[in-house]
Amino acid sequence: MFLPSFFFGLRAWFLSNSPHSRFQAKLGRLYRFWRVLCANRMAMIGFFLVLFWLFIAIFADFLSPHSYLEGESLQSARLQPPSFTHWFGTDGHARDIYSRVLHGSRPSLFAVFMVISIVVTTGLLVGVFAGYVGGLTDLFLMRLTDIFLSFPRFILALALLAGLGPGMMSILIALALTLWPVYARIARSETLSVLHMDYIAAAHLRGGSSAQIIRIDLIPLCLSPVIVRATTDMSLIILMVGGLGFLGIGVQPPSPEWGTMIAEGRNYPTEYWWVTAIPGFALFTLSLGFNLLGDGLCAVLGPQERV
Amino acid sequence: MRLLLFSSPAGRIFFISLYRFSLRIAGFILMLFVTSLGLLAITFLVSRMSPVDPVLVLVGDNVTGEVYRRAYYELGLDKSLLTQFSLYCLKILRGDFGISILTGHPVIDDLRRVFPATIELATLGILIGVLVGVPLGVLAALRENSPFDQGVRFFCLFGYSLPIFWLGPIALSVFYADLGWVSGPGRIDVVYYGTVPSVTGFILFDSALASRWDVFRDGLRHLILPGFFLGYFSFAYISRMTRFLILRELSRGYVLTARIRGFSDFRIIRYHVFRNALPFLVPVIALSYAHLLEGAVITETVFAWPGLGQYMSHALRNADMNAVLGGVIVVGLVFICLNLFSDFLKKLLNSHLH
Amino acid sequence: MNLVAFFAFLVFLFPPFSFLFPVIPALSGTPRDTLIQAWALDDVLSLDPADIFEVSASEIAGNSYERLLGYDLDDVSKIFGVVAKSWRVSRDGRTIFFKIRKGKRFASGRPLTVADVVFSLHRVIFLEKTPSFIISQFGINKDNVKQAIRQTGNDEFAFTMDRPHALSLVLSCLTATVSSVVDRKLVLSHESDGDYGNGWLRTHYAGSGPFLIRDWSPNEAIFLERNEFYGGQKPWLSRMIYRHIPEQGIRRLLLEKGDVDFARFLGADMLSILEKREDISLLSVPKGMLYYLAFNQKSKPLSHSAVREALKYLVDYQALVDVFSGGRGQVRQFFLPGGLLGSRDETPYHSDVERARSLLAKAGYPDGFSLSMDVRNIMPFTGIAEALQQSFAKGGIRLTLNQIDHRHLLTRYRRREHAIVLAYWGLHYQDPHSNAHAFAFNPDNSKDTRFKTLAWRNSWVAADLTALVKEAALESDIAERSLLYRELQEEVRRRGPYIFLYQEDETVAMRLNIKGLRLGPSFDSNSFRTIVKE
Repeated sequence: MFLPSFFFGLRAWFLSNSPHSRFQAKLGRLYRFWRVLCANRMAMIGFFLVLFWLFIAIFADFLSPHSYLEGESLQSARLQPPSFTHWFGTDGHARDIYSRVLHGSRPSLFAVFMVISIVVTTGLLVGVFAGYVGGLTDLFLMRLTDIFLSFPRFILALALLAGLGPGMMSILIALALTLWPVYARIARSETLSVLHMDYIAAAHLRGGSSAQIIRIDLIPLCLSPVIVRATTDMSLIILMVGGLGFLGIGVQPPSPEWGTMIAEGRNYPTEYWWVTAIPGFALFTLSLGFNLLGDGLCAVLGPQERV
Repeated sequence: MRLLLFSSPAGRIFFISLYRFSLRIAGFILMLFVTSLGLLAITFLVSRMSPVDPVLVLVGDNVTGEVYRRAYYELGLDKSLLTQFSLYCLKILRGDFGISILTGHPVIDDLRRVFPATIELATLGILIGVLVGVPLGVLAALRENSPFDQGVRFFCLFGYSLPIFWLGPIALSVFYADLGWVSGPGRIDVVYYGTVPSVTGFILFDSALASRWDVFRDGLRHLILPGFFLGYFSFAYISRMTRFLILRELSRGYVLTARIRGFSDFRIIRYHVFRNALPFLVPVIALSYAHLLEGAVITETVFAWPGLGQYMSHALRNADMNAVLGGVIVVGLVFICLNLFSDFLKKLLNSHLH
Repeated sequence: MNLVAFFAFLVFLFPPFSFLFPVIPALSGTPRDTLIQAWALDDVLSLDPADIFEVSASEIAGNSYERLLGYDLDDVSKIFGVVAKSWRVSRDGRTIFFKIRKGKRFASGRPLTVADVVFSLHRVIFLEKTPSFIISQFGINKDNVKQAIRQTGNDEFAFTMDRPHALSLVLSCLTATVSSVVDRKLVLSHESDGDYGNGWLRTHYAGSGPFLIRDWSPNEAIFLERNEFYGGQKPWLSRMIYRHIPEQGIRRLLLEKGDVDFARFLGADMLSILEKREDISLLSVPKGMLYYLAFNQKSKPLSHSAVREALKYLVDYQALVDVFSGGRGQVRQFFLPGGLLGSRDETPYHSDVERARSLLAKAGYPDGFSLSMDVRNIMPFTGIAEALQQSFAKGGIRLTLNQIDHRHLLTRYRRREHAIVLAYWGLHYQDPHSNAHAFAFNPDNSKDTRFKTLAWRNSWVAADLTALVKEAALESDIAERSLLYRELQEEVRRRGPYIFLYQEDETVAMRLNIKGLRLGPSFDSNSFRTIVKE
């Protein structure tokens, strides 16, 4: 009896028209947003797919029944079909594919969060600053974003990987270099649209410094389009990490990465379908999850043109 | 006469807009120059960072110290980085990308040979993308939020999320090996090699020019599967953008006015909405084409398509730096051109609208 | 709403439109007089025999050029003349006189003369390409080549060396691709900047073999045709096409569909699947290639002989052959592949963890140690490396794998930056000297030595063995020579910084209607002349 009443009480507290604190107001806004998102079935599927893989990435060590690096006997346990001991079968090195697929979520999600956090921070700062200061600085910064924006992402990553050697670092650099300008542009246009509104003027009159105004009044405003954009970019990052792994220049074996696993699997006959099909499906679900979520957020937070 | 040109209001507007237009063009060219220079700087740095000894690449595994030193100086590896970079840019301008260690040919010759195959594939991809994407996008916009719209959207998101290096091999073994609906990997059946004179480098054109319809059909059979995959990706992007553009157009005032005045929906859409939205599709398609060229690296590797992408991925795996960077520069430049052009067009259209 | 209907029509038209393509009939199978092979041709850099040092190009040259001498595919010590008819040795043993067969013609129709032979050998020395050492090791260089290799009669030339090398060694060297005879007139007509026609011949053909090279489009295909001027029994096939297919999975698909007749270089797992198919047959022949591990002697624990000995007892040799070659190979624990003069077939080492542990304890490493191993980033290298990682761990030795591409690996190996390297080594010609020189010869361990042999790359100096290599190369008595190589192998096995793993067979998967393929111990001896398609 206690639990439901607690939740109903909580709900009323969230939806209260007269919040008692900023915190309550914020939570309330979040809750309303959540309710809208819940109504969008595709977005919810995406949300749970992403949540599912996040959970797996965090608890991969506890969830995997076998070692993801060391295989069993090469003579007897190679390329075994899915069974009770090996749920997804074993690969050419007699390793358990189930454990490897679970651990394979890590490099992808790691790249996603590293890149997005770098890119969103830089993009927001540069964009809001450019919009706020205006003039020549703005012109210079925007031309700079134009330059970086017109670089081919995948090809740049290829070039860097060829030079720096395979590995996660080069992928991160290439992605970060080409993705930040998008956010800078979004942030700049949002800033420009509110720059001459009264409340900014009021903030000035209040004696707020530029840094304060940028931090308190401008950046939070840019967040919602940035979040929409970031979610769709996440699926792009997932596919790129996988694609580079497939070309043999991403995350290097034996560490598990889905694209690399697919590439390795191509050395085996298609009769051993599980070697490639399962990591591929994992990659697909995660990337689809981000796309569905991004699409739903876009519908909720307002349509955005894809750059 | 001249006086009239300058003094009349119409003449002045003409000149002002011409002036603005040429400013834009100049800006476009400047951006192109700076961006390309940036690309070259990156490829140059990458080539200097490479873990593979460039001298070894040039002279091979079994040489004496003397030959090695000679090659070292010939490559200019003793000069300062800036001098090396300017020499590098000059070389690239002359079309000298060095020798590929994998084929033993100058990289520029290799690129010239493989690039038409990539263009052919990407063009088919974009054709499919436009032919399917634009109508679907329009329909989805007209039936906004209907199940049809939802279906198209899901189909697009599916396309965005599919790793082609996973689905491609599966499709190949199903449609080629099991069903035999399409021809196998490669660009053309090997027995047809050399049967038509290479005029344009595009198999379809060459065979049509030579009236060899068997070769044409064979080329088409090879093209269809990778073309379909590339088309799917560009379709996803194009249909979403079409939907967005049409919706934006539909929300404008004139549509309502026209409806009030009793024009039929068909007429409004055909003569106003579509016509107004169409120019905005051009940069979208250009951008999509650029992305297809980039995406060809993986598609071609999957389907053993002897184009630039396969050439590059192969070179990558064998650390053939000259070939990789040559490919990067070519694809990069085309990409940058298309990208900036699309951007330029978008800005021009927007300013025209205002 | 007509517009909607129009677009709907377009959309629904498209799928049936695309499904029309399947209806177009495809060619079934390959043309009867043509043989198509699927192979990864990425190592073809040049088609000039003075330049060729790689697997696929040497096979093509072997079928399109005629060499001075040839050997029996079943017994490589039986050497016979191809372009040469006979030979005799001068009394001091330094000069060999070769008589040339008459009546041979090049594909251009010109008769093959002794001047062409002399020119072909001169070019090898003047061009100084990678394989030129096969001739230049007899003390022949740019300065003395005009005297050393000279025409002495209408159909005779002399081959003079600095020292009386063993006849069997010299003759074996003259069966290699570098001894291919090129059409002097044709090549010289395309000469530029004194390059002996190398620039032209890299992509063209000027030979007299059973097939002629019609065209090479890099990374796509190489086209060979029957040479109507060929002196011997002409090939049954009128065309042979090498198709470049880098992925082995795709090579297999093409073979199963009958779009190619041969699929080459398939992994053990592919082969074991194809083995069960009734329309495909497999042919395996041992090749003179060895997988081996090498230990850099600059690396601390590896310079300890007991440690090296212990590592040799940690490898499960037969398991490697069974898994990574599908049993198509032989365990080899000496530096010579089977079938060569002085080859040893014994296998003194076997997996013995107890013994390895006690050896390690004796060396002062009871708990093992950590090391890195360089390995190429493709199968089967990665697989073998991971298997070794697992079995070394049983002795407490923790290997970290450094998976890099071939050229990166070579760069590190040549700069002696590796600790352990897993590599592959092939004979350059069918004589034991080829491997003896590579694995045991190191007269000067300094950085700028002329001889960057495998022994040098691993900083392994054994002055007595270096001397023994020289002695064996000069020994004229065959039985004595064989004994020397047996002794040399035993010494290298005992003291050397190598673990020899196994010798791999080459397996060709082919359609059942192909008969008459002859595979030799090296790629330039794979012969397609006798193939018949039923």
